[in-house]
Amino acid sequence: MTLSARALKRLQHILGPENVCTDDISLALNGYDCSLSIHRPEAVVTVRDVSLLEPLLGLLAREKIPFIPRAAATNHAGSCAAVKGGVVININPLYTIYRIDTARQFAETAPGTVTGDLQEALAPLGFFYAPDPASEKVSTLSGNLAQNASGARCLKYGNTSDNTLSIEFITPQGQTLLLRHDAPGPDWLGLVAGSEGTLGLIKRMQVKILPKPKHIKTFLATFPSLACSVQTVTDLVAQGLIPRCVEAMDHITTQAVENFAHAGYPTDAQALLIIELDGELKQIQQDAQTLQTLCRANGCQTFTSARTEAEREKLWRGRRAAYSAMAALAPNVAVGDGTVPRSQLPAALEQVRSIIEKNGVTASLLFHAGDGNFHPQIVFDARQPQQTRRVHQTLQEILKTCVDFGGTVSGEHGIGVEKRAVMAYQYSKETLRFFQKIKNAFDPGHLANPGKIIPIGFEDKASSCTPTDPSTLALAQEIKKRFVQKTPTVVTGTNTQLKTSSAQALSSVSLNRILEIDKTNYMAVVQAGVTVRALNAALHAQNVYARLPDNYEGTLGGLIAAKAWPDFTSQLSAIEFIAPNGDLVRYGGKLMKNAAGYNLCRLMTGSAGALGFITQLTFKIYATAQQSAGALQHFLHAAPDPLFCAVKKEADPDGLFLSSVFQEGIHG
Amino acid sequence: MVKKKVCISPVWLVDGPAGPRTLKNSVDYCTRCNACVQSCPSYLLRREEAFSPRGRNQLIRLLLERKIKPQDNAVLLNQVFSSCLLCTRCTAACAGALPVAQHVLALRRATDKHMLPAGVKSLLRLYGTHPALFDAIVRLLRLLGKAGLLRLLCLLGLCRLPALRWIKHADDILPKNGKTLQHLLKKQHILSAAEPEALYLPSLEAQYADGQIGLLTLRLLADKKTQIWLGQACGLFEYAYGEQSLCLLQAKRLLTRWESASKRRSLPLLTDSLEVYLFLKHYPVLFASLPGWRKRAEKLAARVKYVTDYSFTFSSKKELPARSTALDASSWLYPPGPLTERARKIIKTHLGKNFVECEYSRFVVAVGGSAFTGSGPEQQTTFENVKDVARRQLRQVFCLSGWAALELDAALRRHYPQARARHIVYLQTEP
Repeated sequence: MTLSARALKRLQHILGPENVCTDDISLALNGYDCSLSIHRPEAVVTVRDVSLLEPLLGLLAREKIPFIPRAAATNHAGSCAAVKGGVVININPLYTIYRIDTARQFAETAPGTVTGDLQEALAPLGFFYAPDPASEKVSTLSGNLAQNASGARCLKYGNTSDNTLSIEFITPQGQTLLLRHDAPGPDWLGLVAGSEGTLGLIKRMQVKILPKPKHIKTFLATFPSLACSVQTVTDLVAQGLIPRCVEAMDHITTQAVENFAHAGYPTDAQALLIIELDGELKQIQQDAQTLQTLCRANGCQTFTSARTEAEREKLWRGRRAAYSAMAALAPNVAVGDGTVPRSQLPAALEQVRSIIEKNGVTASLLFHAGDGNFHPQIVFDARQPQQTRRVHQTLQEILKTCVDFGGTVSGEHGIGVEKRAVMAYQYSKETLRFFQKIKNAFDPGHLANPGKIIPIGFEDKASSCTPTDPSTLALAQEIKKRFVQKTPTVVTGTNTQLKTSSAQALSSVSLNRILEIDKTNYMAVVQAGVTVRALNAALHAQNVYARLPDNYEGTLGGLIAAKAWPDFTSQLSAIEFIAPNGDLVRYGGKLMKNAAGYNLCRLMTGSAGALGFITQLTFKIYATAQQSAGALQHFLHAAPDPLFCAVKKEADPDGLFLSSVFQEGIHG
Repeated sequence: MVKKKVCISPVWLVDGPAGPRTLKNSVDYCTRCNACVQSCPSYLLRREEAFSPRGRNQLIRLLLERKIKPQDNAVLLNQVFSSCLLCTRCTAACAGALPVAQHVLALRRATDKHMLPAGVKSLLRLYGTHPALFDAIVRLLRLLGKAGLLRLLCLLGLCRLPALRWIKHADDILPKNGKTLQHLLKKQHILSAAEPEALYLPSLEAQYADGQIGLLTLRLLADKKTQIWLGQACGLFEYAYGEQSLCLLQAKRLLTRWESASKRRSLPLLTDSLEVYLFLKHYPVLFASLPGWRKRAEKLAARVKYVTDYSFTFSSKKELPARSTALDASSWLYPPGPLTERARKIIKTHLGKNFVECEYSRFVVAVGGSAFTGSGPEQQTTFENVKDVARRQLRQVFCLSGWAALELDAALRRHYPQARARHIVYLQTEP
């Protein structure tokens, strides 16, 4: 599309003529990010007052002009490329930190606040903000949330979404909403996190801040194989000992980094772990003992600790210099961020190495061993088209390998346009269709960062998902039949919360199997009809524990649908449900991180049976007993907010899934 | 204004920490990671991509690939490149250590946009070509200044004319009771040695603005017979603001002089100016296309010294109020690298607790004559630095560059007179 003179005039009226640019230079310099995707917008607008965001988005909606929110543009996925033209919204001048409240432990900021600036402001107060993406010195808080980029510390402190308490969110129609994790209805904040600006714009953020740990201790351990190093991390996590971060490098990367940065890494080891513990000194000493024992048990060759701050800095110097080491070799560096279940890391990395060798490219392999997220950094010269094609090919193959190992194509960088095509490999057409419905609900005009995340023509490219479990298959067939016949459905479990006697009730009690207790990845896969009480008993019998409430009467599916599980944000990693049209939708896996697509776990939490029939859930388990918060007051009868209504309309246009939220008097 | 036809050549050599590369190749090494952005003072003031180091790199690439027409974008192009302070903080932040300042300089040369007002440029050119005449003119100007000419110009409103604004700025930054180095040397009966053990190349500011800098630098060489090279240009100003050919000529002259002084043994060449030091260190790249001269330049580069290479002599342990001192590491054209850390150690060793360990200010002081260009953010960034000094309640700031000290001190005198900024050699004097 081409911007009309009238639209430009109105933009200038709102923002001031000096903040609306259509010159060649501004357009060329605002069409790229850290990826190889470059697409020029039609105009660049700079917002210098946060209150102008609403009228701006309102105008763009009225004029039907696509927009691309742009902060530091440090993403590696092409999320800032203006693939469909439109207006780039530069939010960098909105960098104010409004408030830091150390008593209630939160900070309130404008969307363009640089993460590093917040850390600098918090440091003298003895506090810190937990997410630490590698680009934190330049990337912004809202950009981090839009990509759900979280960094190495997320293993212990959770990802950016978990560390955001609330946001003021402007929909593509220019309406401002306050989103919180704990509000009634679906977790919209969790859904918006990682949506790459395709659902709207963040106006204001309230983030969690934490007191700085009193002591930090850093260790370096080397291992004879990748498998040994990964097993060590698995054992650590299973013991409930969650390090502040665990960074790892393979043999080839260690050598490259050591040659460049001289950090003192042993270059003969096959794998290297940098592990950091924080907290009280006494606790660290105890944990260090456990850590050393576990490392030794897994065949660790050397185990050293940094005795001084200088030694600690030296240990980190190598890790930090990894990108520089590669950037010095060639003009371009392509960075991947596939993630696999932790137990699959050694095999996946071996496969990735063979792909790199087969394609004849130079790459380093770094990984956050704690969460199975790895970053191949491939160096190349984009001026050589053949080489560039080979790099693209390599990245695609690596991402597909991640999916083959039960992983995801993005752990924290997002999808953008660069990984859009492989989304059709990771997700079924039913899941992608559901993503499309979410996008349609939030942004019916397809104006917010269009052309991202959802692959073009996925109906032909993606495979279909059919239930393998007979109970799920029977339910899917029943829901499909009702969809065709336009017969309503009331989703229930053991009927402890809803207490309905409706004839249309469809119960999940047939989904009563614990499918897998995976003691390697410490994940449990459970059907939604299993009661929480029975589940807890079964887990204890196998000497594993979950952070499930022990006072909840009802099924696991009910616990999620009613948003009664306080720990759902950090514990739930995958979900399977039947959409109102009978489609089986699957999202996630045994993963600690997943930034591919819209987070359906968060959407279905609190959906109160209005958006789908939950059939299966995957969540974390532990080797040691966990403290669990009691079940929350459920939200089954709260009035739906405008977003809930919009998504409901898209996901269930005929209103077939009756729920307490959308239908009065179904209690019988 | 930018010329209609920009003669920018992709094969020009630029020098950075990664070694000499062609301009196009160097620009292509930008991975667009944006690690540089928060280090750029002009970006921090504007918060627009075009004013960031990444934006400037990409813009040069587009110009080289002829994807942007200079004639259609003259105004913005001019703003973007004139607003770069050549402070090289982006190079220090860059994963690939790209010399963005050198890229910008190449473009300024290509567009004939040399930035300095004609008066300053002519005067500085005179320093390189006819040092004696330059000396005479400066003396005359000082006399006229004392006689009240400047006040007269200001009264008549002539100082507000863009072409004459620099006169007011020069008056602002020059110390009111500053003596020339020549005057001080004469007064203290210090003679330049005929058979020296070391050579001293005083900076322009040490010679004409604050001669004390020169004297204190000479104190570092107290035990050595030193030859003082007054009026010797090194080509730096021509390199940044003038013509390449003239720059090379001056560099060759300096090189030949050093070689003739070093006939018996290779002599160290000490300078008090960070800018001159870094420029001499990069002489080999200047002669990249002249292999013979390059080798000779390499020998000189290996013997160039900065004041922090010598042991400071302190008369007594100072008694300064707590939280009194910080280091300003503003530099120009090349990043100071390990020099900063060395300077920091020297100050900390001497002042102990009185040295404020702090992150350097996000903003830089306009160095190397940038403030005379009057083109962009130089006054704002210096003012931001003053705010930083006030916020930390500092009493003095030591600078690695004499020029930075003059600029910052003038701004402090105006906005925060409790603090002073001085060259690092002043550490050797009583407070």
